[in-house]
Amino acid sequence: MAQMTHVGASPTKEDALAKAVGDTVYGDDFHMPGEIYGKAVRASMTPARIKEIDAAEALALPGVHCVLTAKDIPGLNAGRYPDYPVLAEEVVVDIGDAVALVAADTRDLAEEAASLVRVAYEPLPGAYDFASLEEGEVVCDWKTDKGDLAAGFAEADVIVENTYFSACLDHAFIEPEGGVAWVDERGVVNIRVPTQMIENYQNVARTLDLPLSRVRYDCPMLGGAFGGKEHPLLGAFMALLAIETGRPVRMAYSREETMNTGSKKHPFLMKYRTGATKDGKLTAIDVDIIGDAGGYTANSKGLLLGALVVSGGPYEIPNARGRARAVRTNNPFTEAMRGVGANQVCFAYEAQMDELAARLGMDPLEFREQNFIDRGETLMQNQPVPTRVMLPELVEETKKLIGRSAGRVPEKDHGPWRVGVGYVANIGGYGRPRNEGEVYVGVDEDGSVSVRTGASDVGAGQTQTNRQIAAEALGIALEDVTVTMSDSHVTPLVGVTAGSRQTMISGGACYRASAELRDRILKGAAELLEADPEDLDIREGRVYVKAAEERGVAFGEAVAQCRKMGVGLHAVGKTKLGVHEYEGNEQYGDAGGWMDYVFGIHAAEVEVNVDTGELRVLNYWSGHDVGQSINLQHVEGQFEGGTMMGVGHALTEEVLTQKGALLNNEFHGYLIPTSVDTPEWDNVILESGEGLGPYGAKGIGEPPCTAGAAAVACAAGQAIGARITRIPITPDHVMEVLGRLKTNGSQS
Amino acid sequence: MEFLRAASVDEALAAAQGGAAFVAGGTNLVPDVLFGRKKIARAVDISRLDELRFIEEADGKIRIGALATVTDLLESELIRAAASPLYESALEFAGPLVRNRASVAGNLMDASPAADLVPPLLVQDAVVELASAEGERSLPLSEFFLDYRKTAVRPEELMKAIVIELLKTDDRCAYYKLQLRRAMAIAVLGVAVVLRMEKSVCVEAAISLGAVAAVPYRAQAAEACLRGKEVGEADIEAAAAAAEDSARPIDDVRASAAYRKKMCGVLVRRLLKKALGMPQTVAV
Repeated sequence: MAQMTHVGASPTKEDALAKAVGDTVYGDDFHMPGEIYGKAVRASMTPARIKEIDAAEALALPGVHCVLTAKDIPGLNAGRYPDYPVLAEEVVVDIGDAVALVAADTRDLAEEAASLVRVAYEPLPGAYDFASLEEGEVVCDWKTDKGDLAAGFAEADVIVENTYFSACLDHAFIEPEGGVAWVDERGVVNIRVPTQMIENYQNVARTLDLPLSRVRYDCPMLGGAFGGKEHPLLGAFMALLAIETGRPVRMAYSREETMNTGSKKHPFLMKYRTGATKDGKLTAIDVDIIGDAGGYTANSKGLLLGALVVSGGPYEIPNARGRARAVRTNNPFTEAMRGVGANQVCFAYEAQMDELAARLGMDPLEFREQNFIDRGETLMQNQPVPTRVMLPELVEETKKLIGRSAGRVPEKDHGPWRVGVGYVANIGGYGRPRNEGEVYVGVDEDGSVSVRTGASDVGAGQTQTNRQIAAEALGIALEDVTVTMSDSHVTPLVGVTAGSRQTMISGGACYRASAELRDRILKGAAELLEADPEDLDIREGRVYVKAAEERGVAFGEAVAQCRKMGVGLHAVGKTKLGVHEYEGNEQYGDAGGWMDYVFGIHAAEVEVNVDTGELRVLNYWSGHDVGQSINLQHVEGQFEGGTMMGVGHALTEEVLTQKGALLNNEFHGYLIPTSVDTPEWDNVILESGEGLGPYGAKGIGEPPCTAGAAAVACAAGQAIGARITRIPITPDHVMEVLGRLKTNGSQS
Repeated sequence: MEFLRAASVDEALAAAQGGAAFVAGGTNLVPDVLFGRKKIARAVDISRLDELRFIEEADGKIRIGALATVTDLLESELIRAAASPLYESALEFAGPLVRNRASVAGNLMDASPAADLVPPLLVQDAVVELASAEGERSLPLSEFFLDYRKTAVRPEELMKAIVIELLKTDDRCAYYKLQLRRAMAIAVLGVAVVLRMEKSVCVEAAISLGAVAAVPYRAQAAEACLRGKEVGEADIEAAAAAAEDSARPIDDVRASAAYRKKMCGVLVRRLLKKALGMPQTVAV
């Protein structure tokens, strides 16, 4: 590939300074004149039948504008998923369900009024124990089958069988949801709210029974999302109240409200049986996953299948059987969270690999290397891996950094602390079949460029990514490109900013629009330079003849020439992915695997206190083939931030509930790692150039997160010589697996 | 809620007649009020009463003013030299921002069983000085906590200072906070020990435990295993067993009761050995 100016470099993102000094206008920072405050009345018990809602006392308070219930919804009472209502009408099933909305002059008054809305419930029997399969409804039952399982296990010399538990997690973004909605002078409903999906304007329009174009989603910068800001509910609440009152209505969730009402990561119970020959070749794997969907099915079906297809890990296993079920309960409803099920299974399949290696007396990493999957070899559901797999190269580079193999590090032991190093390999997917999106790029008469994309900037640098891609494709300076994001009345749609997909979808469409414009500008320049467009190139804002670089014109001059020639200088680029073409995919549909995969090697060095069960991560190494980094610093940020999120899942994070109600709905009960919990760090960034995104980029927002917990768990297992079977690895659990604490059964 | 700012201690005491919540750093009180965990009719802001912000040596003791912050503890040579368990607990206390605001007295008044500063204060025989319009009284910290989040302080009383014994240079002491992450974490367990030695004999022993019962307390049965002895392995084992036996923990979001109880023994054993410079053994 030709030398690139912007792609692969680390120009500081335009929004960085404002974020650092607190100038970014997030959802809750923006005010409308005359705004009043909304508040949702949440279920006070679940599951229950709603017998009566009495708003008289609330309405009698001076300054209260209205109380709305499901009966007041003019259109469809559903959010992103048909089974998930905006306002509960007959029953409440999830502790986060809203049953009524209040609007009042002040926030305090709105809260007081909400507390005065009397809801009479009739309790219903609840389902909480998802893993028993006896309490809740099984909403999906996926099966995969490859090779001959019985023959595979018959061939195995060692078979390892374990049950693993991965806890319910909160997305724990720093910014709780908040925003404002207003009806403008034309009657258009404007909703300014942080969301991963401005397409929610469509859901809200259906709820309001308005033409889709009469509702606008204007999404500001997000303070994190991770899969937890995909729903239209807050937007719908504010819009319903704004229409009813004729006033701008703002709502902002507290941390407690966010945690009580937001989606969670599926807890998984995972039964694994893995077999290998004595010379270290995997022969068979049998996986059975049960996930807790919580109160609503939402996207649990797709997520469980997503988990299942990568549940064998990045290994070639000739005989494989998989089963994945989701169970609907009255626990908090669950959705994707930075990994779409890939995180939980990585913890399990890698714990199996370490135990197999130990039983075989093999080096854990060499055992893995012998079994790495390669291009064309198949996953659990028989899908061949479509692109190059750089796991061997990642192993080589990571080993160089660490200088030791997996296992105990006795020379670093001190007192009761035992030190261990664990290596893991992982696989994560990005890009669903038929995924598509469009991006607008326009060149102004002075040669400066506007990019408009419906992608949200969730903090991963989506704005800057598009900016660099456009500048690279057009051959101009970064400062000449301005990106407008996520305004449904301005930006073409690119679908949800999730699943590590926007570099590929939005970035790809931005690239195609920019490349189209580049071709047109070359035509203008060709006129001026009396050359063939094919003999020209653009670099640093100058169009020149490749064979005679001194012959050139400024980018702006070429633009002026195009305008003279009547050549249009705006374009819409499109990304559209294909479909799966492997045999047997019909039964799974578009959720049957990803269009491409990302592979990684992670390693952790941890110390575990065998007297107390305390666990500290000392050093961490994360490595992936990213295809091509667009912004190298963003890639490092995703590696470190994403992995650290996974490390938190290994160490402390767990949503605890009692009868569906959260016991730790704030950040002193739900512990995410702090800066002092962060280990020393090094990254290995390889670039195969084979990703589906522009310049061969892969999607790397999620894959680093999928390996973090697994690496810590394997390292801890190496340190204490016992298998960790649950995350988070609480001190209780460590003492239990060491046989030093008898409890009446852990929470798993 | 009525909010008054006091310009003097006398003004604060006058304002508190009939009962008031005194506001110093506000790091517990403000969130408690905001989240509806506490209902307060009258708040009296004492944060500007500079005369209550001191750490001084007086009459062979250390006097810590009620408004001394946790950062003040860390910046005090006196605390570092003559109250090292308290100094270590201050290091583990929340994070820098909270330490800059939170007062020592507030940590006591919050009466959390997991209050970080309490085990170290207990092993230095802390006495709190309370004042009201009626007059002043002293109350040993060991009698201060009545039950879960319940103190013996009367509604109109203001804590003015906390007085602790000085540690001597050859006193043996140790502290540990067991926590689930390395900052901003509520203690799973807090343990402090002080052993006063005369030659090789332990003439006085103090062991305190936090977060394993409704209130932090001195583990007296464990202390009795050591007092008057040339402490050896068997005495330490007996003290560890007595400490474990004394604990009445609960299951909560941080740990199980069984784990906490076991850790009382583990940590008392470990800290006693550390204090006495004995080799540590590991049980596995």
